[in-house]
Amino acid sequence: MRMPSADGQRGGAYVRRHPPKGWASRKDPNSKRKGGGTVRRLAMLLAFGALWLFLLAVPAFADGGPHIAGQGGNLTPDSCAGCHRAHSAVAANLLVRDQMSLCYTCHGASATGSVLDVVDGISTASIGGGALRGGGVQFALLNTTTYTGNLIVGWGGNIPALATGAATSSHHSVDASAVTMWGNGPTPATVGDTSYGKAEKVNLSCGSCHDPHGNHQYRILKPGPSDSGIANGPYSEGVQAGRVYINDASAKTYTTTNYALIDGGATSAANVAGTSSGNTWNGGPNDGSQLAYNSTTKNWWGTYTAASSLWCATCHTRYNAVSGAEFTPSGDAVYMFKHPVYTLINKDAPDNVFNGAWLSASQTGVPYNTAITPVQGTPGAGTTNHAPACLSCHVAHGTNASMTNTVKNQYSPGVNFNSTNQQVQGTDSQGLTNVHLTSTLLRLDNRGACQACHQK
Amino acid sequence: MLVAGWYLLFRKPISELPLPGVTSPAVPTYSFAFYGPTEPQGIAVTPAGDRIYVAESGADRALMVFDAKGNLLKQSTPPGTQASGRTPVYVAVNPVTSEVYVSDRPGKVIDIYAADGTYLRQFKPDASVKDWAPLGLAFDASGNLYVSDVAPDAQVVLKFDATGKLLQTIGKDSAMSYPNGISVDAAGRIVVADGSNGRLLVFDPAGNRLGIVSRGTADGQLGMPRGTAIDDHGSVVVVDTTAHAVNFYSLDQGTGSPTFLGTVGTEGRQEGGLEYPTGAAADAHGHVYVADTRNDRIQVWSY
Repeated sequence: MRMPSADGQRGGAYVRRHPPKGWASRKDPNSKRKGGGTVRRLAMLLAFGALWLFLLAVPAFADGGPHIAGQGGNLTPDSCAGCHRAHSAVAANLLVRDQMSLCYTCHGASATGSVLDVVDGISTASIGGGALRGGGVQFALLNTTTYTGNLIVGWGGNIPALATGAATSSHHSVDASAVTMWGNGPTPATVGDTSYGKAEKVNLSCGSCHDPHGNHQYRILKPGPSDSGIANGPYSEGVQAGRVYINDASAKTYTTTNYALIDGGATSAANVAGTSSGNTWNGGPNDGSQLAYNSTTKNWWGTYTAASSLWCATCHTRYNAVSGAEFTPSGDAVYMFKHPVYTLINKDAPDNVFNGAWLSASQTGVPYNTAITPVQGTPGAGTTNHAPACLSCHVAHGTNASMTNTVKNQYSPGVNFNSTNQQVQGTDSQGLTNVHLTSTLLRLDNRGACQACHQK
Repeated sequence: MLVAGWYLLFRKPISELPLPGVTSPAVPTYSFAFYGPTEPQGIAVTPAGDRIYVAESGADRALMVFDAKGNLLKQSTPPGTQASGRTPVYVAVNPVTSEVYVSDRPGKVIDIYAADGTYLRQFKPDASVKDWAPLGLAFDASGNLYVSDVAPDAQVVLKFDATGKLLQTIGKDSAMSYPNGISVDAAGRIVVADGSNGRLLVFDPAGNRLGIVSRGTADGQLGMPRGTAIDDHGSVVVVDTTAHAVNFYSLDQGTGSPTFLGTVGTEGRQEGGLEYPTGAAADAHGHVYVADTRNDRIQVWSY
């Protein structure tokens, strides 16, 4: 049994029997003064007291949570101490504990301090609430089975969500364990060399992509993901060797609907990031949601789906591909031919890759840009502004899409596939067992994302 | 005679008989911990301390029933649900019926279990309560239920009678942000951990705010309060998640103003160490229970 420590420090039981200076305590009757100024002083006291109570009453999280850089009143020194220790930290960045646990205090299961439950993939926001488009770490509510062949009926521009969550079959790791940064690292010297171990490893956590202190980006995404190389800058804003770096030098005005509005006044709730109701959300092909806004040039940086692909490519470098990359060898031993992203699709591409007429993004069920011109790439003949992006086919956090037959055994080096029960065996970084580790964050079962557009 | 009188008056063990000249400490000291739940968040205990109810937010996401020594007696979930479809958070024991109430914020329900952990039914709130997000739970001595509603446009504490009739809405003028734990003391005063504002608020039974503990760095000030309880000393127990500690306050009998008494716990995995604790509970025998969330254990502190 631990007794109270003599020095009064935390570590056992620290006892303070008297209220600290300035604390509310029983009124001392001897302190009352007499004189004509009593009423005035009392009035001033009441006025300042009311002001103080008002300031205290400002909800800290209503407009974007604690991630608001430089907003006095939210980030008190104690808030720093809630996460950091100057001399006794046990994790990198002077953290008191692992970053995931820290984030989960608000964004974990049930989200006791936020509208975003990233474990379950649920948003409870009054606007945009429902299933998180990016899914969750442990569960996601993506209706990954709705697409059935060429039947595109009843989608109505929305990607349906499940009523309750389903276990994720793949997810971006958030526990800082070392994972492979697919598409990153040195190119194998020999064509056909599939030693994927040459890809770079990264200790991925929430803070690899998001800035917990807040910045000026959509979803407080970092200017460049940590450990991607580009984050080591300095870089000027813009595309850097096929990747994107976005400064966050301007003060940000958070909205009550999303983090996307930057510098204020440029958009509305409806076109910030898509709206949702119930268990559906808009795919966002024309939602105009931008990844970031340059307050200096007053220009939007691409669009959400387009610019976000470059952002993803800061880690997954070789997944970035322009139009024609599917037909032209890249010279890369592993990533020789690549599906184009972040560029316009040539409708009249050879080999009849599209079986049928152009479909609207709402018909395919996967979001891609139709109304904008990507900031990179040369439109080919016959293109009509169809630009797929990483997020057209994949989700950011985790997916519950299932993989069957041949597709689930792809890109899973070192994973033990059990042919009897048709499941991948093992335990992933989140402790989930018997999960399909090969769904590669795809938003639809098997290769439904392919069929959604190609209808083969 | 003295011992018999003590027992008849307080129904407490002889070991709790106060010795002459020895005053009770202001805060409890570490006693023991038990394991079993994964990422426990909410916790409640019977006044006798013979049943401890824990809501785990990881693994099976179940209500777990333990005895006083931490032996698991029963694990229960709402029928027909999967772990992916339920998220038990906070727990409270109805002092009138001994039923156990468990909030599920994403599910927008409060599940009710029997004292032995058998699932019974869902709580049906007043029809005027729509699209709520129940989080913190507490009962007063009469069996009225207090629920913190963290729906984006709510952020208040709702008071219901036993039939689910909405009696009172508390804290509408306090601009609370994710009120978590709630406790009601013997005088009917309502203590609310105003989580994301880093405050502790005290209301009188009519809902008027009496006192406040603010966010800050001074002793007794808070970072991110979550669970609360009233222990058998009448002290308010407040779990500060990001401080990895538990604070204790007394409430002025007249004004209701909170006075800081002390704190226990420190960040770590050792005995008495806490990792992002969430829930708190107290029995009538000097024991304070803390859901040590990221350490996957329950800690028991004793006076």
